[in-house]
Amino acid sequence: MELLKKISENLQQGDHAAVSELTRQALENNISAQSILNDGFLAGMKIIGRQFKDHEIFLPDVLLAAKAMQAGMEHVKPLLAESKIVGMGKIVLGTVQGDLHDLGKNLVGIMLNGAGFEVIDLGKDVTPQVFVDEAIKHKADMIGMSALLTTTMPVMQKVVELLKEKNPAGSIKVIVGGAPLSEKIAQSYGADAYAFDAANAVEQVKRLCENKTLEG
Amino acid sequence: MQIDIRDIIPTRDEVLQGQGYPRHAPVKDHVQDILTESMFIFNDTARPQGINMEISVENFAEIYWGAGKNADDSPLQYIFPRAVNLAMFALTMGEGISLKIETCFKENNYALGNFLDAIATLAAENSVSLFEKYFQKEISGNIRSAEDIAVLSYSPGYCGWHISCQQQLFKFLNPISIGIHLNESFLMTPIKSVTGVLLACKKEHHIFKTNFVFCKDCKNRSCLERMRKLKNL
Repeated sequence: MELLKKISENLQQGDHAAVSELTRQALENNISAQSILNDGFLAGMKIIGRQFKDHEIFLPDVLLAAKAMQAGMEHVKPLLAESKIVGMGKIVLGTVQGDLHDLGKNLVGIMLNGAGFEVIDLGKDVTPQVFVDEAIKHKADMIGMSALLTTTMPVMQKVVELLKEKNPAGSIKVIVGGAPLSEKIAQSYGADAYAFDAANAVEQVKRLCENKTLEG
Repeated sequence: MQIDIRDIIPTRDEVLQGQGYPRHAPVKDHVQDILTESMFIFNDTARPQGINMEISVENFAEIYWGAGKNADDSPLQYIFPRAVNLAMFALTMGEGISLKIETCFKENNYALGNFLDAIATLAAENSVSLFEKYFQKEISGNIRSAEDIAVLSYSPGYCGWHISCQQQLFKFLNPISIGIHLNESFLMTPIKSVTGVLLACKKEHHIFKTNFVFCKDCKNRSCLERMRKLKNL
């Protein structure tokens, strides 16, 4: 459909005003919210994700596309909620207790949103209790945690331990990332995945969601 | 000490390279516009200032070893006892810029927020270089063979110097006077702030092999660039 193609193209150009207007027009033309999401926004973001991975575009281009998607989502979100359309998955995201650096976490949230995940951003300085309570409350598929310093990253282990206690079935997975972390440290904390950057976080979250579906 | 923004603001190329753009790569017009806007906002909002205070080797040893959590072996423990002059420093880009970055992300202005964050980070790094130069200039009149001496900064949280030593550093320097505060996990607010020690040493004393325990997990590796520059001086 021409309108959906235009939405995708304008999203790739980072033209948020055009995406907002075209989304409004699409809804007026009775194009379903689901189609707009899948064939407009996510189709555009998929191309953006591929181009970014291949170094054809750079972080500011991705962020502009994400802003454009948000502008369109403003129109579509209430309809998706009404019709209970399920996205790719739900992730509770935050920077761990004591840590105030949230740029990395913000970028992960933006990219996950762009890939069709519902992101519940708990912000920074988040206690283990809040991570676990919010994940259970929102029936999240995953908890994503970020830390910048070696002094704050052990909080991640506390979250994993508390989650095991409160969610013994293990339905909520854990992904971690941040400058001082490594695959080895993530494993030692009992996390299900480690992401070395925001783009990799999207891949890891997708992989975990696919594995969850297979397990389920 | 007020820091002149003109002395520390990074160039457009530096900011773009930090975002992954190769040198001379074409940049879309609207990305250029947002970069221009973020440079303007930084100029308008940042309030860079800093403090520094000379310290003796003995007093610095108390700050360095104070928390008892440092790595068993670190480059700094060999460098600072050989320093001819030392000074503690703290600097910040001010609270306004941190708040502005936060607001940008809250309002979905991700690219603007990200550029502002990058500019503030680079400006803070440039401010440290400025402090190194000032200190070098300050001491050069007082020491013989000043041309053999180089000033480099070292900060808690890096290269085996445990971040908990911020507590001792804060007691000595009182960066609260320029609006920098420390939280319970020894992180500073505003987040675009830096503390550390300036060490004036013979150039060769700053050079070390990167085979300490923590080096293998380090993703920063900026020490290599610093040492390379020293060797070329």
